[in-house]
Amino acid sequence: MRDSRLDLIELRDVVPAPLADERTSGEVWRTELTLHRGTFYRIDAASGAGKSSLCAFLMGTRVDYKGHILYNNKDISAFGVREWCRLRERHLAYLPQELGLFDSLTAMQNVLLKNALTDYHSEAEIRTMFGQLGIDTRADRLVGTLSVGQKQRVALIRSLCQPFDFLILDEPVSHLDAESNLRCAEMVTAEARGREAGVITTSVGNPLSLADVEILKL
Amino acid sequence: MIWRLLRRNVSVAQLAAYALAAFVGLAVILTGVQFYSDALAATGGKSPASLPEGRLIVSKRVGLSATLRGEAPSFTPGDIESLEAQPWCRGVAEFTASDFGVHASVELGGRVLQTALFFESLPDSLMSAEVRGSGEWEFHPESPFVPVVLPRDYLALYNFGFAASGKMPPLSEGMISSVPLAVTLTGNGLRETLPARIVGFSDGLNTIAVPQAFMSWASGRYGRGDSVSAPSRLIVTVEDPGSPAVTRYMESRGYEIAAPAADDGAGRVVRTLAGVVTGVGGTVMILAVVILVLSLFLLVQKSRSAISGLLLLGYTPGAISRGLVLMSVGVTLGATAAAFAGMLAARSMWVGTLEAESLVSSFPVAGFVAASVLLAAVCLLDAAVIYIKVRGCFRS
Repeated sequence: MRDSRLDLIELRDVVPAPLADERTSGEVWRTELTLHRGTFYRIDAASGAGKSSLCAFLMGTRVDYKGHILYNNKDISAFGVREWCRLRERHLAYLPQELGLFDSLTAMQNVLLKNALTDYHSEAEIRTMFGQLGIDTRADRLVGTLSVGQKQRVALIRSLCQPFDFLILDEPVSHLDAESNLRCAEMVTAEARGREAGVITTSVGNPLSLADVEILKL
Repeated sequence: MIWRLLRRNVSVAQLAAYALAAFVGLAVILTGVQFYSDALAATGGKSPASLPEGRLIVSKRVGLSATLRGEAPSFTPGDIESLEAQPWCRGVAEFTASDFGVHASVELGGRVLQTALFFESLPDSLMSAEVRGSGEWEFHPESPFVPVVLPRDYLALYNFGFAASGKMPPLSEGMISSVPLAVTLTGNGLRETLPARIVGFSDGLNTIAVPQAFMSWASGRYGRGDSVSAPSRLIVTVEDPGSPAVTRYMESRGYEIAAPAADDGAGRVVRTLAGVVTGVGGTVMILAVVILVLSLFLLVQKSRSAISGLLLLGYTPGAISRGLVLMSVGVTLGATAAAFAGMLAARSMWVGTLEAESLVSSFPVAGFVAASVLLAAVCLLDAAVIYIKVRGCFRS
C-alpha cells in the first residue's frame, strides 16, 4: 500500500468483541460492507451501538473485534506500528469523539503539530480556516480554555491538515449549532473533494450536514 | 513541540538523583579500572612466563633419609613409566639440572653483585607462548647469549626483603629485564663468561629456567658427563589438575605437587582491591541505571495520553522518543564526564611516582575506554527502554 492510495475499506462479518454474544441488526456489523474512496458515508447509531469502536478499529487503536477488516484487500490485523503511523500520516484523517487535543498547547499549536508531519497547509491557510469556522480569535488561546464546541472546530481543522483517502469524523458537530455545522460541512466537503477522498462520519442525532451522503444504520 | 508536551512530566528530582548516583558509580568504577591498569603496568603487566593450564610440577618428598644420603630424591625410570601409564596423564617431561658451575654477576649502581647459581631447563614447548614468541627464548653457540626466566617470587623476595633491609633500590620487572647480566660457566677445567638477560618471570615454576638448547650445549662442554642422573622434578601434563584421581595417585606415591600459583602475591592484592572497588562501583552504577529506568517508566506512564495522542496523529515511536532519549543521554554524558574528571583527580594521588619512572602513560587509556563503553551501554539501554515503552503506548 506504500504510496498508493487507499481505495477500498471492506468489513467482513465484523463485530466488536463486547457485542459478540448480542444480536445485532443494521448495515455494518456482521455484514459484508465495502466503503469506497470518494464516497461520503454517514453512520447513524444509538449510543452504545459501537460507532466509536468502529472508528477505533479503522484507525488501528483497538483490535477487539471479530471478523476481518481489509484495506485494499489487505487484512489490517497484520499491520505493524510503522504501517499504522504511515496510514495515519498520509491516508486516514481522524477526528475522535474525545478530540485528542493537547490542553497545554494553543489551538494553533495543536493544528501545527499535525500539519508539521506533512506540511500540508501554510500557517496563513490554517488561519483562514479558523476564520471560516468563526474561531479565529481563539487561535492563539490555550485549548484548555476553549468551550467544547470551539474545541470540536479546532480538532476538525487539525484533521484536515494532512493528505487523506478517508476522513473519519466521530460525532464532529455534536456541540455545534446549525450555522456552525453547515460551515464545517462546507469545509469538509471542499477538502475531501479536493483530495478525491471518502468521508465516514458518525452521529447519534446531530449529524454533519453533508449533501450526497450514503446513510448506514449501525 | 513534542518535547513541550512530554517535558511537563519530567521529574527534575529523579533526574538529579540518577545523575548523582551515576556520577558516583561511574567515578568509582573508572577509578578501580584505571588503578588496576596502572598497577598492572607498574608491576610489569606480564602474564606468567611458563606453565600453561593443566601442567603440574611433581617432586618426591624430601625425607630424612635423603638428607642423610646427601642426594635429592629422584624419579626412577620405573616411576616415570608408572606415571605415564595413568589414564589422566597426557605426558611427562623432565627438568634437566645443570651439572656445571654457574656464577652470575650484575652491576648495579656501581657495585658488582655476584652469586653462585644453578640452571634448569625444561622442554621449550612447556614455556608460555609469550616467552617462546618473544624470539628471545633461543640459544646459538656461535653468538652465545643466555635468556633466563626467573620466578617472580625471587624478585619479590629481593624487593620486599633484601632491598628493604639493605638499603638497596627496589627493582621493577621491566627494569630488571633491561639489566645485562654476566654468567660465568665453569667445569672440565674450562671457564667462560657469557652475556645473559632476564627475559621473563614465571609463577609457580620454581626454578631458574634456561632454554633446552643452551643446557645441552653447556652440559656437553662443561658437564661432568653424568647428567643422565635421574631427574628430581617432573612436569606432568594432566587432563584436569583438580581431579581427585590425580591427587590420590600423587599422595599414594608420596609425590608433592608444586601448585602453580595463579598469581603473584602483590598482584593478587592489587587485583583483589581493584576488583572490590570496581564491584562496588558497578553496584552503585546498576542502582543508578535502575533509578533512571524506573523514572523513564514513570515518565512514559504519566505521558501516556500525550504519547497516544501523538501516535494517533501519525508520529512514529522513534520521533516521539527522540527528545526523551536526548535528555537521558545528555544527563548520562554529563555524569560520565564528571566521573571521568573525578577519576583523574583520584589518579593524581597515585600516578605521580609511577609517571616519573615512565611506567604508566600519562593519559588514562583504561579509564577512558571504560567510560566510553559504559556511556555507550547506558545510552543504548536508555534508548531501548524509552523506545519500547513509547511503542507500548500504541494500543491501550
